[in-house]
Amino acid sequence: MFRDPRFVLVVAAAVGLWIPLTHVDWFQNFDLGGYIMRTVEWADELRAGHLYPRWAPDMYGGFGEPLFVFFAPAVYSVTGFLTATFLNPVMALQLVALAGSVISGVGVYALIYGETRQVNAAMLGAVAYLSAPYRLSDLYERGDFSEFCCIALLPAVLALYLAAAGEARPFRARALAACAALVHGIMIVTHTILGLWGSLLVGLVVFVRCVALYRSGAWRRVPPIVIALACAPGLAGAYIVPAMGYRGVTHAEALITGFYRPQNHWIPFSDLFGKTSYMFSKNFNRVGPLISVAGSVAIAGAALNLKRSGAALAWMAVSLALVTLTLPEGYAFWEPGRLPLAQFIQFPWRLLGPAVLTACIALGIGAAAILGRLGERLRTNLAIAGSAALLFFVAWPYAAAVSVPLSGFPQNPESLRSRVESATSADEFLPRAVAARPRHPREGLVSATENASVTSSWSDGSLHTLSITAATAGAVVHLAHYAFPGWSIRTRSGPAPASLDTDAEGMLRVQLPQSGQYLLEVAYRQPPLAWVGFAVTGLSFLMLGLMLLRGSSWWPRKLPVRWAGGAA
Amino acid sequence: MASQIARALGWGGSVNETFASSIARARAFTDCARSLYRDGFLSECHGYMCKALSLHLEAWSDAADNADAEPVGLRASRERAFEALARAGYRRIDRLRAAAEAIDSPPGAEVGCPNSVDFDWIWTEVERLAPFSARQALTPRARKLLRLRRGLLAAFSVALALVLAFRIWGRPRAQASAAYADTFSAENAVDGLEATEWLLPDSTAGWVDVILPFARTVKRVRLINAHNRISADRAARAVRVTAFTKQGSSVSVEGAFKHFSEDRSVLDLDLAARDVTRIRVEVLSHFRTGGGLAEVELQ
Repeated sequence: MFRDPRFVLVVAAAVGLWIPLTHVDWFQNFDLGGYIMRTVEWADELRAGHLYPRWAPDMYGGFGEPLFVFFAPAVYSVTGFLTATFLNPVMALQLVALAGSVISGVGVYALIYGETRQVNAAMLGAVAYLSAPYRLSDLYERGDFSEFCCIALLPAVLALYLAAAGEARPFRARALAACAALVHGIMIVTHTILGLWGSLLVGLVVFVRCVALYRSGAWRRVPPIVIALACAPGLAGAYIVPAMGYRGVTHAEALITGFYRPQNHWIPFSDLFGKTSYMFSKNFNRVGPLISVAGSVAIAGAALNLKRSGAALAWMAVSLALVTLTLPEGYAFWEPGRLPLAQFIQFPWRLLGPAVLTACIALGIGAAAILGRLGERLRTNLAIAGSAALLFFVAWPYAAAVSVPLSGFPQNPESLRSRVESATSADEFLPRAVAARPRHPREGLVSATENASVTSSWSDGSLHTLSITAATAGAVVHLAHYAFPGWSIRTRSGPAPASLDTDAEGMLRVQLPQSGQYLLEVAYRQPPLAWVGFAVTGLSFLMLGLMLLRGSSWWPRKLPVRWAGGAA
Repeated sequence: MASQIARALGWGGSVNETFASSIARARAFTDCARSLYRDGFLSECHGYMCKALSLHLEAWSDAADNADAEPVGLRASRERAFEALARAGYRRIDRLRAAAEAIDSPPGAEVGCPNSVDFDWIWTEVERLAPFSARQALTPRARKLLRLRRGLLAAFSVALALVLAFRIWGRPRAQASAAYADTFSAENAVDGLEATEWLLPDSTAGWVDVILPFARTVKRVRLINAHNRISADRAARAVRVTAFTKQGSSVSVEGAFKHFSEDRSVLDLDLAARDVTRIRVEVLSHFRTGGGLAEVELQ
């Protein structure tokens, strides 16, 4: 499958559609320089020794922000790692975009090939997905690297689950299921919202396939797939548990109010086909033509060979259902309180990503039924012509980056600290005790003292060392850093252990119980709920490990057999 | 291509061509079984899996035969295969024996369309035996080459991980009170390149901290002055270098560059401090419009 020249063409198309990103220093997008700033913060914290940073110490002019408690970490963990080793943030982001582009094509190619065993249909479907305006605009227009990568991983997740369900060899089937769970977990920590919606789609597809397995008599193959599916969100526990748990101590309600209410972002039906949109200069929601072509091919395929191409109609139905949810006709679905967490989608048109993916899968399966009736040469030529047409007529207008100078965005911690910057536009992750974003950057680590003098202070990211002399018992030092669960204090030397609490403005406050000289270390470490999350992730890995081990040579024999000391 | 070269060099190939071809046939049957399974033909798939297992066992039985051995029955052939497998170090012979007995049982005992309970454990044995047989079919030299390749891959992975870990945690970091612009950040002072510079904003005193990955002894600090190569308009004049340990500051020394120069300008300051975790270089005054440093080297 992967040695076929058509697979190479898919990879070439994926790379080609990424090339415009390399022609600019940075590009005009909705997110401005948010990804650069987050990458800088992750890389700096990583170099300071935090494997999974949660706190971004330089945001808001040095007051800090619990950014990575809430932001899905997958993209930043890669870009931060690359930045901390060899590259600058922009190059790291470009490489991640390249990986996302290639994974998109490879995932759809593998999925359709697995379902149809036809390389031409797989190529056509994969290029259709690569050409989808919404997918391209996620990168070039919106600059949302996380969502771009999330919808790149979604077809790979589906392909792996379906491969696990269709694999005869038991161990390999379990291994594929474990891989599917792993990639699924990564997808969830790539973009929370689409990770959640993508998981619902994955759950639906896996459910249908498991029912088919059960009915065919292969019911023993169902539990490993179900276990893998259940473990996937668990693998993301290290991120999900604290993110859900600490939502209440931030201004997270800003995520679903005002501009960000889903009810403000339905798209009219005409937007699915029109060149322009009332909201955006370039209408990236124009997926109508592609979905129409996919639907036509699926219907034609089903008419020619219903048994082989019937699944295409099912994929198409899912696609249309998802598109309907983005239209005003889907208003009832998004009513507040109707579905838990549904409001957090903010923009229902995000579902156009999965919608266009399912349409392209339908297109691939339908095309397999049609092309299967033709000679090898003709079907290859048709598939290549179709792919070229998709690239030129559908993808071309959307694969373009508008250059902006990089100098407008902070690219290192010093420059981040020197201005009041946040990587979010609604200040939704400011601690709740903080009323509003600061007006000026902080002037130093210590903002005020009461009956104490600070001899020296030094900061290394989210670790601060202070040497303080307390004139009286009960002296207080106010720090210019926002308080949040996860801050801790260690008294390296002093007459009594100092303690940390929050002042009326939501800042950290050091309490010194006795007079004397103190040497203190104030650091942001993993918040308590993060450890619960790590435990969930560890348990999920353990479950997957046990699932893999079962039935292998290393799996212990059943106890009665061992007691009997003999053969099975 | 690689396998052809390996064969030409005598590194590839099989111990026994007959054995290898039997294994290849068994693999083809397994592939057929997989295709049938994908299309939902469980009964037919099971049939092919059983044939694949039989072929594997026959291959092992034949490999155990010597040339003048007389033909034997199925049971004796199976026993010979199990003995050969046991000699080759195959684990769980008991389960393989049970699977062989299940597929050798008379046709009347078989179920028309098997369900998971019937076939899953037999297929597991086929899956386990296949790679073991394929490995055994290789010549000792080819097996050695395989081990060597795996060893090299593991060594490369470890080396890569070490290099990456060093890049992240093994080299000094820098942070500064301020920087003139993003392109003149504090990291430029510890990147080993004299062509890149850390520059302070105009007419501003400031500092750069060099944070060491491990506590160490620092005898001397070498400062290489900046000059802002495009405009040649700024450089540090008076500086103070302070060494910090975990307990706080330990040694401090002051010095000054004599004059502004567009060429390499070096200032060596003796420090002689132990257990240093951080060095702070303060720019107290400057030449022309502002201060800066090209490099801070610790000796």
